Order: sequence, then C-alpha cells, then structure tokens
Amino acid sequence: MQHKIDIKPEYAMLDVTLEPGEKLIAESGAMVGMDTHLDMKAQSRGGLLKGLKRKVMGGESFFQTTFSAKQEPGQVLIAPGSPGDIEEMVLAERQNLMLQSAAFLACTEGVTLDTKWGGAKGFFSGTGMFLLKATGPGTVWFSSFGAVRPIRIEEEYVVDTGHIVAFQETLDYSISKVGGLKGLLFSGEGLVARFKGTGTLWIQTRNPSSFAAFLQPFRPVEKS
Amino acid sequence: MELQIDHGPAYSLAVCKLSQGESIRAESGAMVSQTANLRMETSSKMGKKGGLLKGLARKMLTGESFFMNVFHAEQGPGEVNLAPANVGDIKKHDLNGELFIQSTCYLASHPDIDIQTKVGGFKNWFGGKGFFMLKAIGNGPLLLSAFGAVHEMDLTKPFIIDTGHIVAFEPTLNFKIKRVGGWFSTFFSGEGFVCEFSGSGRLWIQTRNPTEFGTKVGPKLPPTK
Repeated sequence: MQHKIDIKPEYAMLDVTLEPGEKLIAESGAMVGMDTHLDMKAQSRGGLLKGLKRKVMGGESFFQTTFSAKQEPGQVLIAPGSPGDIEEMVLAERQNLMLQSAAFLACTEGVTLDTKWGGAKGFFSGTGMFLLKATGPGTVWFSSFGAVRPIRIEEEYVVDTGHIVAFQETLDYSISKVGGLKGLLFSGEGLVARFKGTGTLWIQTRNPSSFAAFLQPFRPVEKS
Repeated sequence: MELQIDHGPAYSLAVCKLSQGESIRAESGAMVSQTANLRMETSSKMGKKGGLLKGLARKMLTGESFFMNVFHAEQGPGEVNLAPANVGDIKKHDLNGELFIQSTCYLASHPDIDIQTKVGGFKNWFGGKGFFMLKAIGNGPLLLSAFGAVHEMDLTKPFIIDTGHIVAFEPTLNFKIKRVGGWFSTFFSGEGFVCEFSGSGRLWIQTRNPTEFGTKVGPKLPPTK
C-alpha cells in the first residue's frame, strides 16, 4: 500500500494506492474519487451490534466504507467533511489511540475500532464528546477542523472538549467546567477535559460547535 | 507575555505564554486549551476600569457576550491557546494609544488595555448588518481575529470600505457610516452600509465578510421554529 497526504495543511486529502488483496476502511461519505475497478462496500464493521453501538455511543456514521483491490492495484482519494488537516499514525500490535469520533477518517484492515473505552464517560456526562478507541496493528488517519496541533502533556492540561482530536492512551481525563459556576454560565467556555499523565494530545484550532453557533442566526425561520 | 501566532493564515491559533503574575483578557469562548495552573476569571470588566454597566452596554450594542475571561498565571508560568470561531487569521498589534476594532474581531488583549464600546453610528440600526466598534485604549499587545486573511492598508486618500470587511483602524482616520447610492441600492445592491474614511492612518481589513458567508450558507440549514 502506498499512501500520501496532499494539500497539507489547509485542505488535506489522503491518496491511497491499494495492492491486490489490500483493503482501506474509511468513514462513510469520505470518498472523493477512485479507480473504477476498486470494490467499494458499505458495511458495519464488527457486525451489526458493534456498529449500532458505535452509532449510539460514538455518534459517528453507522456504516463505514471498505475499499478493496482485487486483481490489480487501485487508487482511492479520501477527504474529511470539514476544511482542515489530516494526520496519520502507525499503531503497533495492541497499541491504542483515542479519537474524538468525528476525527476518524480512515484506517488499514488490521485496525479495530471500539467505543468501549471512555466512550461512556463522554456519553453519560452529556458533553457531546464521543470517543473511539483505535487498536493496532495498522495505520489510522484522523482529521481536524482547522489545523491540528500536537501537545506534549507532562502534567495537567485543560482542553475545551470541542477542540480535542486524539490522544494517547497513557493520558487519563475527566470532564469538568472552568472557572466555577459563574464561569460555566457566563464564560462561554462550555465544558473542558482535564488531562493527566504523560503523553501526546492532538487538538484542532477550530471548534465545530462554535462555528455552527456563528451560523445559527443565519438560519431561515420556519413559516407557520 | 509572549504571543505567538501559529497555523496561519487559514486556521491561526494564538499561543499566549504568561510569566508568573501576568494575565490576559480574552473574548468569551476563545479558549482552546491551557495549562492547568492558570486561573480563569469571568468578568464583565473590560479593562482596568469598567464593570457591570460597560458589560451591559457591550451586550446591548454589539451583541457580543456580556462577559470576558481573564486568564491569570498565579502559581508560575503558564500557557493559554486562543482561537476565534471562524476560519481565518489572527493579527498581533502592539497598542500604543488608541485603536478602533470591529467588535467581532476582538480576540484578546493585555489586561491594562481598556476596552470601551463605541456605537458606529445609529444609522446602521436600519441595516441589519450591525457595525459596532470597540475602542481599545492603553499600551500593550492586542490580538485581532479576521474572517479570511488580514490585509493592511495605509490610507492617505479618502477610501470606502464595506463595514463587514473592517477589522480595525487607527483613530487618526475619520470615518462616516454611509449607505451606498440611496435606499434602493442599500436594499438591492447587496453592499449595505459602507464606511467612508478620510485622513491618513492604518486600516486592517478582512478578505471575507462574515455576513455574506452566513447569508450564503444559512438558507441551506433547516429552519428554526
């Protein structure tokens, strides 16, 4: 498999060439273009139940799309929905990466995706922060709204939940508010994740919710 | 205080490094991430002076949040990352005196800088396109955010700018809010209100107009009930 990320950092696109027998799994709707002889199949990875759990817990698409090359190599182009960057990470066997569910873009066949880890924490605390756990071996690609910035955490670090892209499993987190009650009500900062431990966190420089809030006043008003 | 702009011009992020005892005031909702040792204080004060009334004036006039957040480095050096809601650049300006800022373009400032609410002229109440300004007074660094790129212009001749494209300008410039070409044009040309500048001074404009963008994309969203 050959792969590269083009047009970094503003409007990154993933360009993958599959050898016969190889597969690429991508978020549904992420395909930009592909060779006609590639096989494309929408499927719920890990069976219906696991897929359903991902939909309910992870908030991401129920289906993912699998691209496979049969007799000859084939090229597929993949892009996320938002303007922004793509990062890639190679995971060793049993190595995990936590992903904000909307940040998942694509992975190679060996990677498994699960919402088991920490997903419930986001789900039940009502933060809208849904996490996926990607487990190696394989390569996983994730995308950001805006630029993606790695932050090396040595001690405690605080991030607005809307800016989280991914983090290493060596980091633990808890959801809290900033600045006390007044802060929660009036600061406009919403909820934050407080990270502890040592590891890398990737943040995105724009927040999809803030952007949606900007657009809110421009929505048409329903005529009764 | 060390302010560094990364990931520009498309998705700029302001990385603010504070020494112990320093603090920075930021627009509500601008915090991306921070070291855990910083204390965030939510305040309606917009400078050394000010308080409840000023906060209220800001809310009523600009539609911006009543409150701003001040990040204090009390227990040692710390870092806070700030970003606006929209895509675009951040411009650092070392204020020495006064500056007029379009209210949506204010991102952050040194706590010694006083932020006052100025009405851009009552004429614009009719336009639906709010043009409200803040006046920053004092000395210290200031962060401005733009929708799109920031373009700097040194004006020496009268010049007209669409109010939606103004980021900030020096008070040595005189300005007048005007309609372009009569009421008919105001409603149908799509140009709305403009700002006519005279005198000489520096002006910063943004290469995209948030209202135009909202008008293009908004109708595609499901209607509000």
